[in-house]
Amino acid sequence: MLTRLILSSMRARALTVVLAILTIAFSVGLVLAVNVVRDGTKASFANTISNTDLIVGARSGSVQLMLYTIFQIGNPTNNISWDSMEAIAARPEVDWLVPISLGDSHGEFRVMGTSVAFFDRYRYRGGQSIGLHQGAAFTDLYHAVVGSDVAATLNYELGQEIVVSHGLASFIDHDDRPFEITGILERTGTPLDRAVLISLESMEAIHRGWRPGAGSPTGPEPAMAELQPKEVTAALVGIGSRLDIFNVQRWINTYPGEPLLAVLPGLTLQELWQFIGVAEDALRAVSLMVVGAALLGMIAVIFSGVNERRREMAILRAMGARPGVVFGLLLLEAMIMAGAGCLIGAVGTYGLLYAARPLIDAHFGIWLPMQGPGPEELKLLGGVMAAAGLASIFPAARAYQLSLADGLSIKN
Amino acid sequence: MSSSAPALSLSNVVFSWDRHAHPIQIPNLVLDRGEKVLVLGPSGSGKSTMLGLVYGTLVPHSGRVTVAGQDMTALSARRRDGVRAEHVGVIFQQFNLIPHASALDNVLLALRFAPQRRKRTPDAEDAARNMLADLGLPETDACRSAGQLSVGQQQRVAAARALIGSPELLVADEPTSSLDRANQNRFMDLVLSQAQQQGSSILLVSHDERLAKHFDRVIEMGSGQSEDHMSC
Ligand SMILES: Nc1ncnc2c1ncn2[C@@H]1O[C@H](COP(=O)(O)OP(=O)(O)OP(=O)(O)O)[C@@H](O)[C@H]1O
Ligand SMILES: [Mg+2]
Repeated sequence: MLTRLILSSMRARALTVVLAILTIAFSVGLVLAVNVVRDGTKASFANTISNTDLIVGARSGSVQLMLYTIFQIGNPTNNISWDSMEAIAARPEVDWLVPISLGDSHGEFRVMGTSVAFFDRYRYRGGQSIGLHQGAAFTDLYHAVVGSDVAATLNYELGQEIVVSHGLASFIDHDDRPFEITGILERTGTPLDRAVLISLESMEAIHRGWRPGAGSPTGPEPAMAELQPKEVTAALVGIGSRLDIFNVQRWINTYPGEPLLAVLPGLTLQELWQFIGVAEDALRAVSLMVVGAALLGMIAVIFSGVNERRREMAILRAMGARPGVVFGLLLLEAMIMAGAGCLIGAVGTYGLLYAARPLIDAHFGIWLPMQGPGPEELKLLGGVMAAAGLASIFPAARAYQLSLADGLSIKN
Repeated sequence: MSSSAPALSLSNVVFSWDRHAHPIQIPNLVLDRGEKVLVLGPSGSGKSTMLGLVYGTLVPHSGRVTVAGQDMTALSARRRDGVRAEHVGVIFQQFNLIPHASALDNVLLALRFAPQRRKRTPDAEDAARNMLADLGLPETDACRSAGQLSVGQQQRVAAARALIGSPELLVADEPTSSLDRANQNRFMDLVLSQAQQQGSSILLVSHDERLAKHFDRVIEMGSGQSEDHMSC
């Protein structure tokens, strides 16, 4: 009967109760959504590169090396020589090596010279290979493959001719050697979406004998074999056996020919995430504040309820209900509201995000993990319930403070 | 312990709302089991206040109030709540029904926290329905929420709540003030016969001396207004 009393009492105040529940649902949903998106971002960040065991470049900071080879942020301090590349590739433990040459740009996008093997070896999101949305990988000089963002931003189609600029953010174009777009990559959600890929030989060809203003020397195109670059920026390396990774890393880091640096991508990504983690904490703080505000709203609803319901509380006391019972009723009411809010918020948010998952992947390249509420989320929901319970102490105490005689003689 | 004690006794009770107000004094008032007493007094004479002292929402400054043998003045507020729930059925001047709960639930609430009364009422829901029917509330209205009932109907619900479970003492504060003459008499007859059936004593306060014929004893209360403080 008491449960029936609570329910009919809540029904009598339906509007405020529904508003309180929605406030809680909305804020809980917001925090859960922030968490899912954060996990998704973290996962896709960690998934930027996989199946590559070492990234090799000129000696600098490991984060810096990662930033300019994979994230196209910042500039390499130095190049590394082709001889070193060959020496590394010749190691028996090394399964494959894909060189990368950076430094030129196309509009706001960076140009990356690499070997055809790149399309096969570069993997992301747990071993997924990059696919071509349209066309094919480069097979000849002056062929370019563009990332999905590049194609979308600049409205590029297959067969279109583009010009590569010398250096970054420069006005000096290699306009005497236009490239033809032979392929457009599928969206990967990695920085590759914003890259223009050409072969190392093409990279070498546009720079050979090239002087600013004068352009490239005229005459016949050099043969492919002649276009072996003397230097590259970095290399992705695959090691045959996981056990050998650290050996090879040590060998490269102590390579006598020139100062080299080999880093483990996973470890460096984690290091990098620590910087970004600050933003993550800020997000979480904001969403917790939202929950706090919602709880305050709920306290206000319960509290205003008490003043409305002084008589009801007094009647219960007059009928012999102990303080514990009155408190229990208010507590149960708060629990019902908080519980309903949490449920609606969680189901709504997860449902919505689940439905929007393909859309979010297509637009932002973030594949939301969606494994339901984890320990952190459960802690949050539990916290909301506990706070609601605590909040109901105040109105309950107030209900008992008000004198019984006053409560029973309210004139209607 | 309480079976031989009077249903109610007040001795040397003094109470005043504040220091300047004329105090309410009740030197001696005893209600035997089954006795029906009417207290008459004009508005403002302190009738409701006296009932508050009887059912223990107010505590006298001095004197003793015992209900079914229990000294209310010696108990904590919480224990007084318990004694009232168990031994006193109250029809409040403002009825004090829970408006969103059904008439039936309002009646049943009187048993919820009173184990002895509940024990005396084995089939509570049927008993409550019968009580409502006996007091003249149509069967169909028992499940409507109390707030939707007419004032007269609410009065019947309040009476049923006070009578259910046969408390030793029934206390009623102007229960007929909002009824017309014919209904007043019918209602009083219904309440009194119910109370008589289950052996409850009755203490009823009113300003209406026409009710006197229903009672064993009538007590007059003087005007509570004191002449010496007329200013605010
Ligand atoms: N809560 C209160 N605080 C202060 N004074 C009060 C309070 N309730 C009643 N009084 C005062 O006590 C006196 C008696 O009031 P009470 O309500 O007992 O009268 P009553 O005889 O029941 O009148 P009525 O027939 O109109 O119901 C009045 O002077 C009133 O002003
Ligand atoms: Mg009164």
